[in-house]
Amino acid sequence: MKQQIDVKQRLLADNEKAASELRDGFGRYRLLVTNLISSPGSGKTTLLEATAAALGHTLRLGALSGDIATERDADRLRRMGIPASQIITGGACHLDARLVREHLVNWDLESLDILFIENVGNLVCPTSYDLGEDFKVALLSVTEGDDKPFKYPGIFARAAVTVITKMDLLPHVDFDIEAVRTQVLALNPVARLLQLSCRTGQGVDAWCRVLTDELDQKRVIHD
Amino acid sequence: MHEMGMALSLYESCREEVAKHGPGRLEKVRIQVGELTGIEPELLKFAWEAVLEGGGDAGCELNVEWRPAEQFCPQCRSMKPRPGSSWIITCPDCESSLQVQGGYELDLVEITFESAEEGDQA
Repeated sequence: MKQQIDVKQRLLADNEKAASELRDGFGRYRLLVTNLISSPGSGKTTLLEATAAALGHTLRLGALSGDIATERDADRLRRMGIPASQIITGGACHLDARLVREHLVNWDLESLDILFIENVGNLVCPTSYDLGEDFKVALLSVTEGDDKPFKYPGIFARAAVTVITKMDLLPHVDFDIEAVRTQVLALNPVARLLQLSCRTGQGVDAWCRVLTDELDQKRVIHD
Repeated sequence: MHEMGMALSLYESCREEVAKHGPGRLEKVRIQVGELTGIEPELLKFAWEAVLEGGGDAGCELNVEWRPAEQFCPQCRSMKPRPGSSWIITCPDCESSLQVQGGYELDLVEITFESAEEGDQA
């Protein structure tokens, strides 16, 4: 006998449940969590190194770095003096909430102020997976081209902050900052845009201010 | 890669749902996929076939309903038509900022299956 069932269930229901449990936990510890998403080589790890140098003496930072292979990113961050754990996905193109939960089992989250989750370098797949973060950060380097927000709308529509990186290379490439701003704001009118170069230090202060403001707000909400 | 993982979890969800109604063979599954999810319907169908191949549910049709995102003007209180798959920058009528709505659908909607019970009794 043929039967039909109406379901209406999110395909990622398991991930969303795990993410919501993570978010509750992060809230209890008043820990600010950001999920960094970009193409490979846009400068996620470099931005975290610069953040560690700027904020590491006043705030307790930690990082989870996702990659298909190697411990390289976590090694780089540990050298900057912040606890870091590498999630090796073994081929998977994104992190999911269950992987994050597994890797946080032995972490003392109470002893941290900000946790950075550095996703696998990919502008597409990571965007659908909630990791329990407070907000997503998209990075776009000037060498990647100024047409990316409309080409990859999923991430730029969802990221609360878009960071344009490698600004020191701007004189050498055809990259129209205003075009990027226009596209990002069309997708997300409340997005914040930052222009940054870890090499010259441009914009690092503004980035750190975003983090400390968000951390202050989270502490007020969860007081 | 992404689609393969999605097809696997979709199949698990379908099996769990059917199991609630007793044994049965999947015939048709209907899902909704939003434009902003980064899921490519053809790749997902291909992955779905690969997941089902050789098993009791092989041949089950996956019907993907594509849901585009829309741009809404909060001033005019209406949707503004997009130029194909691209986007408009501001409202063509009042120049307000627009809101992106929808496009995040990733839902299992309906499962059709052939219940095994009747055949067993016959």
